[in-house]
Amino acid sequence: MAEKPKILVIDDDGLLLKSLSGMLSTKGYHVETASDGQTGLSLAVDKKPALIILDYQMPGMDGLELLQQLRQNEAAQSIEVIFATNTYDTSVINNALSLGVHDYILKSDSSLEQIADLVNQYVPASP
Amino acid sequence: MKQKTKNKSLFKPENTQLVTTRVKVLLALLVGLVLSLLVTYLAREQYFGSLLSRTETLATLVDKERVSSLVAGDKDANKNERILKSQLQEARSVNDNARFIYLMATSPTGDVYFLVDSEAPGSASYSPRGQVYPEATEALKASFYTGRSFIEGPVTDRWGSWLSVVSPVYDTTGKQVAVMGMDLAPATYYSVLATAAVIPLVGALLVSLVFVTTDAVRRRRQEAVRMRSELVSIASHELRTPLTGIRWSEETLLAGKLPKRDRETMQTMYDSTLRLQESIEDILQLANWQAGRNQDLVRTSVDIGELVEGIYATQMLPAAQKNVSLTYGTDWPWPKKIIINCDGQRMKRVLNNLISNAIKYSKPSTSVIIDYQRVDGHHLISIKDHGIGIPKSEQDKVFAGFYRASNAVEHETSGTGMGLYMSRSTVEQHGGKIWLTSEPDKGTTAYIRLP
Repeated sequence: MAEKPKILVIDDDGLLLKSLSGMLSTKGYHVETASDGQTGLSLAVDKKPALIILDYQMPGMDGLELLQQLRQNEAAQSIEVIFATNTYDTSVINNALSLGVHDYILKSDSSLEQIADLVNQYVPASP
Repeated sequence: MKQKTKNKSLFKPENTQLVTTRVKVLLALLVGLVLSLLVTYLAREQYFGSLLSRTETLATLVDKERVSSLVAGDKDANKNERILKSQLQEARSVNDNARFIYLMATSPTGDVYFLVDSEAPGSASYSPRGQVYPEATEALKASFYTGRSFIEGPVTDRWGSWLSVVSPVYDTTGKQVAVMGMDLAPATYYSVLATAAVIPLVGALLVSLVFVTTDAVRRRRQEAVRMRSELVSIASHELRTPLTGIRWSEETLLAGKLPKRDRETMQTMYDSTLRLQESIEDILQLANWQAGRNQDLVRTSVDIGELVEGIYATQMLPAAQKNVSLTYGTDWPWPKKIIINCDGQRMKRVLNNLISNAIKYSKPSTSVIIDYQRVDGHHLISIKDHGIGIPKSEQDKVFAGFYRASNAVEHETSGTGMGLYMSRSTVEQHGGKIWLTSEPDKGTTAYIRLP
């Protein structure tokens, strides 16, 4: 059996983290979670996931800062990132795009099923 | 929900206002400086002109024969010296701020010496006839041959600092034999210059002060607006995050196995969550609009196609739930690069509002058509739905604020009734027009025309 693709979800909200990771697990991914930026960054470097779903607004290190540091880390710089925000602030989104996120979602506009579809486009779930 | 990756910025930050203020202040100061130099120059010319004419008058009026007698040193020289001295003293007393008035001649060796001055014999500043004036400048020496009046100084000699005004004196045959000099303390000269220089500078400073104050007031207002927007933004985050968590958890539970009754309850909860979310978005939108409505528009070149595409992406979920398809008019894809000079953030809210309205009031399994045309040099955007429509009598009221059409209230429970009011306000701020045509039970088309 092929190894399950690894996905790292970083979000400071417990319920979001739980529902998102639960859904991804049922779709056949190996899910790692982090509820703050610092933990997220070290998990990204250690576990080398195929994809990171990254929250923007977090206390301490926010999503953009994490992204910046991630892109400077040789071991982790090529990991694909989906940026998840709750804000329609175009400057934040443009910033994230310029830091090389592959896609972004507006959490309040998306259903779990749509996120699963999006993730599947980047990292197909193992059957 | 899927967004195309775009690396270029839709909205560029604008900082032109601050730059303009700096440029304005700099310009005002520069104009002030130039004016100051110009006015100072003119004042100096005028002051010198009046001094020269005074000395020239004295030089013309002086008794030529008596001067010749002094130069020659003939037998009447002593008498003529006394007469000339008293005349010079009188001239000094009527020329205010003239300190010395004197006649000088030059020797064949080039020395400049006194013939007579306005000082009493024995006073500290008295120079006897024939006394050489060693401090004579080249200009003074040359004036015996050029026949031209001139002013020099302020120059310093043993008696102090002086502005010297010198004019030629001729004998009866028209030959220059001497010069008439008048020394003035430079205080008046300096005060004339200072007055002339200061007035335009003070004016420029006042104008700059007005610019800076206006800028400060505007900045303080912007700061207030920014703080209010920040507050709204924090509130948005705090409301949206837990609500999204609840919704996703409900989705997870609904996707799993549930007893029939629990499933019904869960479905009702989920519907309520969606409604609550919609209400919160409405209220946030209103708060956002109120925080920013007194702010100046931030106009940039906005690619309207990109803007609509972004909105289109965020409306896919509600559209899918009602099986409403969103289409881009007949011209698909949109004409390339429709650039409108507008405030991108606010125009996006307008379009988002109209498009979400169209979806909200559409009948299931119909289409919403977004179209663009260029009409008489104006941009015309239209959003056409096949929905419940708006009764004729209420078509104007929906733009008035806090008003929802009667059939809309029956159809959908949520909504603040402010969406079209906010949209109208923004469109009119851009110098555009918003209106709609509608037929109950057939559908509504909303139009935005922008210059």
